[in-house]
Amino acid sequence: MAIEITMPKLGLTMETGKITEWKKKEGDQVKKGEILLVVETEKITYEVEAPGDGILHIVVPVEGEVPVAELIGYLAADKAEYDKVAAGGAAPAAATAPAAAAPVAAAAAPAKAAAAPARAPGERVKSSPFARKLADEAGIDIALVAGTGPEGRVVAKDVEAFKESGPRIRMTPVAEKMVADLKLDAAQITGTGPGGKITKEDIEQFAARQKAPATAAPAEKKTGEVKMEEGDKLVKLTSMRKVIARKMLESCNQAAQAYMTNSIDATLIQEFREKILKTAEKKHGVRVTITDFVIKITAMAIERHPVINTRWTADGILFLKNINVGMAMAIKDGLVVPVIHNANKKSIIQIAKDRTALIDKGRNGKLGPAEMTGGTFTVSAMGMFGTELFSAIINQPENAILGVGAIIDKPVVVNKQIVIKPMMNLTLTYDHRTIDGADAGRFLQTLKELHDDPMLILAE
Amino acid sequence: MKISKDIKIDLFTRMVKVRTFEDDTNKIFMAGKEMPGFLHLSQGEDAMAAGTCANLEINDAIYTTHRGHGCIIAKGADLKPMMAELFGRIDGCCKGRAGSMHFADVKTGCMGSNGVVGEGMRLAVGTAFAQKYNKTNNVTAVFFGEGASGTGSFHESFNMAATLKLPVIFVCSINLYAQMTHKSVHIAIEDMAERAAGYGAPGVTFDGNDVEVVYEEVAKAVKHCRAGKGPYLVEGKTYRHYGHYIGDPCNYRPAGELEEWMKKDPVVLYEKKLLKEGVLDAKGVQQVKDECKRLVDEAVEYARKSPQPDIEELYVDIFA
Amino acid sequence: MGKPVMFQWAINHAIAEEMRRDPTVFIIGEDVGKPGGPFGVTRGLLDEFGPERAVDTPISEGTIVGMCAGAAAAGLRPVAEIMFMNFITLCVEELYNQASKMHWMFGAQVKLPMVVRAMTAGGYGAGPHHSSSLEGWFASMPGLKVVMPSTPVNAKGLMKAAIRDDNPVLYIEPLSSYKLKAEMPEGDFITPIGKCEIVKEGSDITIVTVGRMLQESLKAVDQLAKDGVKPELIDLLTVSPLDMDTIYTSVKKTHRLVIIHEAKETMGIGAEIAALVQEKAFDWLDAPVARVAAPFTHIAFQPKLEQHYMPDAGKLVAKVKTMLG
Repeated sequence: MAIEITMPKLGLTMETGKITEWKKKEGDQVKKGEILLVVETEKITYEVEAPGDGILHIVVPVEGEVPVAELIGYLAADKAEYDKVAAGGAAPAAATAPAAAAPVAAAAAPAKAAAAPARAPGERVKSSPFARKLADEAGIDIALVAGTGPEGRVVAKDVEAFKESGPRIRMTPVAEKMVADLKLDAAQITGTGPGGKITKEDIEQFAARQKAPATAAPAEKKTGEVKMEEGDKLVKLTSMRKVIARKMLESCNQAAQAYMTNSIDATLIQEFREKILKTAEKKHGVRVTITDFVIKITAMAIERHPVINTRWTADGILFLKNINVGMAMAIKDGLVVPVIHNANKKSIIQIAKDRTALIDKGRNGKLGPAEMTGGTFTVSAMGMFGTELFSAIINQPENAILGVGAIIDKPVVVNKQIVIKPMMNLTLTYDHRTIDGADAGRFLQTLKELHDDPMLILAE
Repeated sequence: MKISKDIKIDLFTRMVKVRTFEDDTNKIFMAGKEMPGFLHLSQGEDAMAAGTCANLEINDAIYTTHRGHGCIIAKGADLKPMMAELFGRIDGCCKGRAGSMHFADVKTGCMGSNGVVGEGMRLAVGTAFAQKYNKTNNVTAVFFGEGASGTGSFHESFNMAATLKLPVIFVCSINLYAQMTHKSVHIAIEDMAERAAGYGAPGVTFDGNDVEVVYEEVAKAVKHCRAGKGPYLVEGKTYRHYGHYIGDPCNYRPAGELEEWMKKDPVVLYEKKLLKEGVLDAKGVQQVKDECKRLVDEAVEYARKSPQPDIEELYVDIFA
Repeated sequence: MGKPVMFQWAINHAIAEEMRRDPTVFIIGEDVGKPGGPFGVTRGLLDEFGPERAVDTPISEGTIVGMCAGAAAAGLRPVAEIMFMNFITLCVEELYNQASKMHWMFGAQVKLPMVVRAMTAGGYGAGPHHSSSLEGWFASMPGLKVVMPSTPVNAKGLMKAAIRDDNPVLYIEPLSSYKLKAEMPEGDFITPIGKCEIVKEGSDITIVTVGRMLQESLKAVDQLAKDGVKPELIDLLTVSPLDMDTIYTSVKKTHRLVIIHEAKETMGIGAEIAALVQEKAFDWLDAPVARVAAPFTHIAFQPKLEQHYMPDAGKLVAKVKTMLG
């Protein structure tokens, strides 16, 4: 049975991906785990591994912009099978075996994965322990995986198949109906519900945008319409650039953004850092930076101000339990925001380790879905450019983002004397739909307190 | 058989030691605080213990019953670890694990008491086998009562010892009761010794409360066994002064029976005899008693000072 | 490697070699001396070592084993024979209350280096009193080791190890394996007690086998290979103490486990292994742990009924296929 290769879903909000390079040629014998192709998405450049052994037949060549879960190739078990798939006869997929009838989402983008199981809300998902382990590790909600084991049990191969062929687009039941009724392409809709599900509101907004003049979605000028002069240069939009553009504009339009700044005396955290620098390097093999302190302190402050760690939904303000701090990071073509999960529970050294690992992966294009999803707050540090103060745009669907300026020696008044102190500006951009000025003020006050006396992290 | 003065004093000393230990243990147990578990006391059967063990060397083996304190003491075991074992302490001869019914003191040849009636006999046959195999000229004595004589163990063991000609002395104390039922429920014959011939071995019956008689008869048995002639059954008629276990109300004993047997208390009788024969004077008798008391008191001290075993003791020595 | 040796002679050679090596080793039982054993396993030993070391006894299973305990406590190393494992019921007292406990109970004052051989005769129509495999009872006794050889090589190795072990060892030999032949390693060797053997490496499912079920398991593995299934086959060799680490490592690789044993499924050793695996390797299981074993009823002498009762390659293959979905 031939293995289907489909466009993987590499991020909660990913709708399409661009195939930038097939690493193997048509007809090549491929081994499981070898790199098959490179996919460029909204956030990352990703190397896709072969899900099994087989002879490669390419369905979608390079440069295609392919919706998630779309078929892009086959790995045939043998020559006979290869001939069949190459001739266009699709061999039955090894990975798909939907046990239940597919719910109404036929109008959505063609999803080749196993149709989502028809489970009643709250129904217990039968799954093997190993399948659950695999699902946890891959960040997959096992309720979405169809089970082919005895009594409809989800077993390991079902989870593997789900990972390879990509899940269908996650929607609330109401949204599913709306998509069907309105005959929409769900792949084009950004989901802001729990776990990135598409909600009724998302669909309403999407539909509104479709009708309204292009305030939310800037009309794309076709090439040729652009007037160029001698020396001007037109750089084609990469997937990442397109998506950054769309999301930044959306963020500005959706959220009621307000800004608040506080100046922090960084003396004590600098001292603290000096103190542990050697131990961190010698004993733990990691170089601790001020950013690690800021992330830790921010996470601790968020603990005390839960309203910061929220999402706005039409049904209510969702208070999130885990504090997962995203770290805005500039890379070659743009920016990515890998996430440090449960930052409040991690030590500064652990955060330093996580940060180092994520930066490494980011530079090498190896950030995976687990590292890119689940963020509840973002920290954007622009200190390396000497920037004194800046206000970032909120990283949807979060409710706040912290811009961290450079540490610059400034004259300040202490006990009626002018002294020189290393000062750092922290600017909070917050969505005023959820977070009021007083909330923001209190949060910044805590941030200041903890920076002024880092020992409080231990003591309180 | 002429018994020397030294042996007579030795016999008396053994009995007094047994009696003192058992009496004091009884008191401590009844106080209810320091001794866990069950105790089965042997006062009244002191002559059987002393008379038998006085014939045995340290490397001869004995296997004792749940009522085995007397035999083990008479064999020469150190009282301190014995008492500590009754207290369930780590310095007990079995590290506090076994208690009264499963006592063993291998260095003095006490190969183990048994909580399962009659089982010592099978083990005894095995040890006797080893003694014959190793040609050490040693013998094994196994104590049992009329109750055990009904078990398969008795018949198989006696038969096995006879067919393989093993040096086992089967020492039967008929004390009229097996737990709560009379001897007549357990055997259809009067004297256990009758059975021996049926297996092809000698058997003898005697007054189990006359320590010198016990001594003489067992001596013959030991000689027979050391000569490689196979097993020998000796049967002493005796009586236990207390119940099966401490706290047994003994409702199964007819009125007056205990009083009759108390008149034949082996320790009391022998004391009288030794005084009469001039083997010991009153002072000498008292010296023996005091010394035994001192040893028992010392043992109790030792037991009280010894700590409880750690929980880890449950998990060590499962395998050698 | 010498010429092939049969399983039953492998046991014989092991005992003889140990008797030569150590003068405290002796054999005891019914018909073991002069007749050389009812199945010949102890032949030649009386001639070589004499009647003191090859001892024939009356029919007294309990006393034979009780004697072993008493003799071992006094420094000898007995090897007793119980002709059919069903008769071991007569020795449970001596094995459990006495032999398994004496070392611990007496505070390590004595060691009991004794071996009790028991033969299982399942598959011969020998009926309800001669055909049982009762390792499960004894595997629950601390202080007693239980081994089940499956090939001529490990029959020899385990017997030597058992005789040299300072603890009581129950050595269970299957009559139906007596005629298996294999080449022996040269010289002195033992098969360690307490260690499983990975007979075949694999990836799709772990099969744990014990005793004579090895032969059935090997047939099953061959049949499954034709369908492209590659099981990992582990032979327990020692039933108690269990080498669970080898099994956990295998389950973490294959994610499925089936245990095959001749004894009844209910309360068998498979139940213990299954309980431990689901406790310690839960997150690696992709299917429930299964057992292929005898049903909860009695062994018949009647061939058709006995065949249904006994686990075999066919039943194992069917179970594996179900588990692979």
